[in-house]
Amino acid sequence: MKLKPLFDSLKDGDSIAFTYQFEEFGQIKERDLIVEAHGNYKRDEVILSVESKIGLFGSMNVDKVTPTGLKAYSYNMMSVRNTYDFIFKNIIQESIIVNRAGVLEETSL
Amino acid sequence: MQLRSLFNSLKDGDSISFTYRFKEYGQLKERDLIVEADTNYKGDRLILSIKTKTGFLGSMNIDKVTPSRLKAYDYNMMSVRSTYDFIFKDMVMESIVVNRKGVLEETSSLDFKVLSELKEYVDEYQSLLHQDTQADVPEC
Repeated sequence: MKLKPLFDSLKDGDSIAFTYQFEEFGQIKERDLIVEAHGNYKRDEVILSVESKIGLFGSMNVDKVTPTGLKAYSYNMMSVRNTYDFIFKNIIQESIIVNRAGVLEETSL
Repeated sequence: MQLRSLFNSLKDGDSISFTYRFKEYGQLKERDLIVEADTNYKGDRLILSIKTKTGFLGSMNIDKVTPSRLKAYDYNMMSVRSTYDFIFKDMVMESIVVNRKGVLEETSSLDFKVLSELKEYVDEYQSLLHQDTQADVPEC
């Protein structure tokens, strides 16, 4: 399953939940993440954001969906931008759950 | 006034608020900030953090207070560290208020100057008053 078209297919209100494996302070960790699609303030474009399912780590905006991952960014309190690449191969499940307008779909990876 | 020693003098629960001038997207802006002192989770060390007074832009931890700045850092949701230097010369001096155990102290250099001039004036007035009082006392 190509993940780029899956993320690109999200409409306002849709989301994709998955578990992501990454290195944090030298240790391999897993975090349950959710990518949500929202209409922008003009309602003429869909923007994606990523946050942890438990929600206490903040969130990032998705700048671009590439064939290999999601390029995300956020700003700190003084508007310093920082970035993070969520790489598709670090999504550890065999399938991911897509929520389209409240209807859940399981998609095999 | 040495701002480094002022920040280093904070105890658990104290805070310093001030207005900070900085450039954001090419425009000069001002933001009301507050530095708070809290003990760490072990209770054996004091840590400083900085946030906006309105509180909705997040916060940063202060790594070090140097003679010229506060060196702050934070982590994004994936633990990527970002840093920011709050430079003392970009703090609006007149806006600095120290809160020590709920008691507010204004520490602007301008206020110090005005207060010391006022104190000199009061001292001089009191000394004149004292002289007058002495002069009015009839000699026995």
